[in-house]
Amino acid sequence: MMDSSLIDQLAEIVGQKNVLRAPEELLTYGYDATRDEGRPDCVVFPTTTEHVSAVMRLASEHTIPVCARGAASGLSGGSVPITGGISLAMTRMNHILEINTDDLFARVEPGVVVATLIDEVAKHGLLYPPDPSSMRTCTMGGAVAENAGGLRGLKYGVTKDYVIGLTAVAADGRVFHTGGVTMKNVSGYDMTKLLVGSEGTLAVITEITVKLIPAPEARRSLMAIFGDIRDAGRTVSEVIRSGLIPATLEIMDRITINAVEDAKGIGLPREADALLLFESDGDPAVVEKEAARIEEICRANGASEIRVAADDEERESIYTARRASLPSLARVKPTCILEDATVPRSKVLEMLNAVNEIAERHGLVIGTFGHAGDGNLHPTIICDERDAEEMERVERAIDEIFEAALRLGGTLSGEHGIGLAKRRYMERQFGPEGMAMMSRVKAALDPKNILNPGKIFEVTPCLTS
Amino acid sequence: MFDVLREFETDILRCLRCAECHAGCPVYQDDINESYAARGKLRLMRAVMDGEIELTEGVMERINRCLNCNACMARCPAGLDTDMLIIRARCEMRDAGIPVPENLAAVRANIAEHRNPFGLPFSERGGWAPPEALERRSDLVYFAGCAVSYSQNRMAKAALRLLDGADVEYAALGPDERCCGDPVRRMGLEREAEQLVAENREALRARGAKTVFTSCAGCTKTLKSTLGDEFEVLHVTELLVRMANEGRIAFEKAFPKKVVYVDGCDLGRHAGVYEAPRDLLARLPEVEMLEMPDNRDKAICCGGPFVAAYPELAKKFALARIETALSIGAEVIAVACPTCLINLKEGAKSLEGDRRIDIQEVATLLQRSAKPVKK
Ligand SMILES: Cc1cc2nc3c(=O)[nH]c(=O)nc-3n(C[C@H](O)[C@H](O)[C@H](O)COP(=O)(O)OP(=O)(O)OC[C@H]3O[C@@H](n4cnc5c(N)ncnc54)[C@H](O)[C@@H]3O)c2cc1C
Ligand code: SF4
Ligand code: SF4
Repeated sequence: MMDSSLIDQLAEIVGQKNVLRAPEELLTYGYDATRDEGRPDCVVFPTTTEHVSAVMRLASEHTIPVCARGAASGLSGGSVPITGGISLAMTRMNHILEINTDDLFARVEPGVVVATLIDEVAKHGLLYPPDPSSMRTCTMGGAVAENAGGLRGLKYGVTKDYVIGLTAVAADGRVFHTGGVTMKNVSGYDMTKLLVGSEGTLAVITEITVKLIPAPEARRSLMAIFGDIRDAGRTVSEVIRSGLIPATLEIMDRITINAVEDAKGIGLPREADALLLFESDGDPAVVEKEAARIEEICRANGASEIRVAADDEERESIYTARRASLPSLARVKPTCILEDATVPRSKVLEMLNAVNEIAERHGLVIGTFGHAGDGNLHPTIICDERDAEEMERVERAIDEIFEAALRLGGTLSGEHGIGLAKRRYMERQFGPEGMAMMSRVKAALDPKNILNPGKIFEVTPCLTS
Repeated sequence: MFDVLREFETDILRCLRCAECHAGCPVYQDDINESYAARGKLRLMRAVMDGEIELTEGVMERINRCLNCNACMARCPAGLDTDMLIIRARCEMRDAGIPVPENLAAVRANIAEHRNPFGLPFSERGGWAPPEALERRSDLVYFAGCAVSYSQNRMAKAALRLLDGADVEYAALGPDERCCGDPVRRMGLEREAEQLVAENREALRARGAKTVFTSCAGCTKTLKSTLGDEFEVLHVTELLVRMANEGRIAFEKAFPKKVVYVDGCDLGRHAGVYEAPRDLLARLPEVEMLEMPDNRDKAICCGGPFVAAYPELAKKFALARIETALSIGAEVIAVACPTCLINLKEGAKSLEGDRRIDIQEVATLLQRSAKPVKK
C-alpha cells in the first residue's frame, strides 16, 4: 500500500484533478480486456513529459511500481496493475502534435486514439496503416507498447514498421529520445525498436513519431467461400507463394461464420467450412490484375463461391463479417478467451487442424478467425468462467494451443503481447539463455523493477542472471 | 444491494472489457475517467452486486451521471444494454429509499402533481392547437409532449399547419395529455412511469386513436415501447414523409444551404427513426445535405438529458457537437427533438461572429420551403 503522503506528492506534480484515489475509481483501473485484475493504489494522469519524469523520479526513490495504461483494451494483461502502486493513465496526453505533409510523418502524444490519427491523416490524403480492430478506442502508446498489428498487416506491416522516433522516460525519471524524423537512421542501437513492444516494462513512452504513406488510390475486396477448410488453407499458401501481396487476407472458420450469422444475419453461407477475405489496394490497374489473379487461385483451389464487392457498401458488408467475428463469438457464452498464437504462413492449415483437435479433445467450443495471410490466427474459446471444471479444460486447451504453435515453428503472440497471460510459456519459446538475455536488458534499464513488474517475466529479472 | 441485477448477471459477465464503449460516451470523453464509462459502470455494478464494495455516494454518482443515450450499446460488441442496467440500478436505489438526485427532485414533484416536468397547469397544454382538434375524436391523434406543449410550441404549430393545409384530419390531446413517463422512468421510478402510461392510454382510447404522432423524440421512444401494442406510433417526421409521398406536401422554395441533420438518441438509437428527417430535408430544393462523422446509430448525444441534472455538462456536450458540425462546414443544424433543440441552442449561445450557426427543428425548417397540398 502506498503512503497517502506520497499520493499527495503525486497530486502536487500533476494537479489534484489528475490523481484518482477513490475506491470506486481504483476498481475501474484494475483491468484490461483479459480476465486478470489488480488494484492500483492511485491513478495518475500525466499531461506532459515533465510530469511523467517527476512521477518516475518519485516512484524510483520510493520503489513504487508504475503500470502505464492506455485504453486498457490489451489482450494480455499488460496494463493490469498486479502489484498495486501507480496506474499511470496516459489517456489525457491525447494531442496530435504535428502532421508533416512534406516529410510524411506525424508526431503524437501517447494517449491519442489510433483511429483519430488515421482519420486526421486521411484528411491529407495520407495513410497510417496499422489498424488494430480495437483502433476506435486503443491508444497510440498502447499500440506501440504492444506492437499492435491490424487487418492491413500482410502488405503494410505492423506498428513497429511505422514508429521512427520516440520520447520516453526511464525508470529513474530521465527523459531520452530515440530515432528521429528521418526515414533512414542507423546511428547507434535501435532503441526505438527495443521500446516498441516492450509493454511498459522498459520505459514510459511520452511522444511518438510515425511515418505516413500516401493513401492507396484504389481497392478491391472479395470474399471466397469454401466447403472444406483445407481448400481455404491451400489457397492461402498458394496466394502467398505466387508472390501476391494483398493488403488483407483474413480467414473465418465454420463456428465463427455461424456465430456471425446468428448475431447479424448478413447472409453468410452457414454450410461453408471457411471464408477467406481479401483486399487488394494500390494503383487501379495493379489492383485489377491482383484481384483477378486471387480469384483465379481461389477457384482453382475449390472455392464454391466468390463475392466481389462492387462498391463501398458491399466492401463494408464484407468487412462487417470479419469485424463481427469476435463480438459474435462473444455472444455465444459469457466468457470468451482470445488467443493469438502465430505460425509460419505455410503452417496455417496445420494450426487450424491442431486447434480443432484440441477443441474436440477437451469438449470445448473454439471458433477460429484471424489474419491467415500472416499466419496470425485467433482461436477463440467460448466458455463460462463460473464453471470451474470447464475452465480447467480451457487452461489445458490454451497450453496445448501454445504447444502446437511452437511445434510448428511459431510464436506465443503475433500481436497481443505476453503481459501476464503468456509469461509462463516464455521460457518454452526462448529457453533459459534467451530469457536471461531479455532479463539483462530489463534489469539494466529498470534496476529496481518498478516498471510494470510481473509482466513478460515470470521471475524477477536481475542483472546477474 | 443491486440484487435485481442478478437477473442480468450473465449479461454483465459478457462484458469483454474491450473499451469500445469509450468512443461514443460523452460522459467518459468529458474528463476521460474510466469509472464513468459503461465498462467502468458495469464493473461497479458487479462489485456492488457481489458485495465487493458498498453502494457509496461515489457509485451512486456514477449511476446517476449517465445520459441513457445508449451510444455505448451501439458500439458494444457484446450488445450490452448498459442503459437498461443503469435504469434497473436506479430502480433499486429508489426501492431502497434513496431519493432522486437533488437537481431532479423538482422535476419529479412537478410530474407527480402537474403531470409535466415544469409544474405548469393542464389548461395551458394545447393553446396552440386548433380548438376543433382539441375536441374531436379521430383515428389520428397528435401527442405533443411536454416540452413542445409548454415551451417549443413552434414545433407543433409548424407540423399541424402542414396537416391542416393538406386537409388531414386529426385530434390533439391537449389538456388530456400527460407526461409520457420517460423522465421518471430514467430516475428509476417505474411505477410512476407506468401510471402515466396508463393515463395516456385511456386518453388516447377516449379519442378513438389508431395512430398517434408526436413531435417529441423522447415521447416517440416511450410511446412506441409502452403503447405500441395498441396504437401505431409515429414521429411527426414519419407522418410528414407519408404525406410527402402522397403528394400532400409541395417543396417549392429553394433552400440553398448546407444542412446537417444531427441524430437524437431517443429518436435514432431508441426509436429506430433515422431516415424520415433526412428524407424530408433532402427534398428541400437546392439543399446540400451533410453528415456528422458519427451519425445514425453511432451519433453522439448532445447532452440534452442532462439539462436538469447537470446543466454545465449539457452545455459543454452541446458545444462539442456544434463544433463538429461547424468543422464539416454546416450552415444549419437540423434536429427532430425538442430536447436537442433547446440544449443545442443553449450550447450555441457562447458562439460569436461567423461561428454562429442556425439550429432548427425539421418541421419548423420545412415551413421555409414546403406548402401543404389539398387533395
Ligand atoms: C476487441 C479487440 C480487438 C483487438 N484487436 C487487435 C488487433 O487487431 N491487433 C492487435 O494488435 N491488437 C488488438 N487488440 C489488443 C489491444 O487493443 C492492443 O494491444 C492495443 O494496442 C492496446 O492499446 P491500449 O491503449 O488499450 O493499451 P493498454 O491495454 O492500456 O496497454 C497495453 C500495454 O501497453 C503499455 N502502455 C500503454 N501506454 C504506454 C505508454 N505510453 N508507455 C509505455 N507503455 C505503455 C501498458 O503498460 C501495457 O503493457 C484488440 C483488443 C480488443 C479488446
Ligand atoms: S463495449 Fe460492451 S463489452 Fe466492451 S467494455 Fe464496453 S460494455 Fe463491455
Ligand atoms: S448510455 Fe450514454 S452516457 Fe450512459 S454510459 Fe452509455 S454512452 Fe455513456
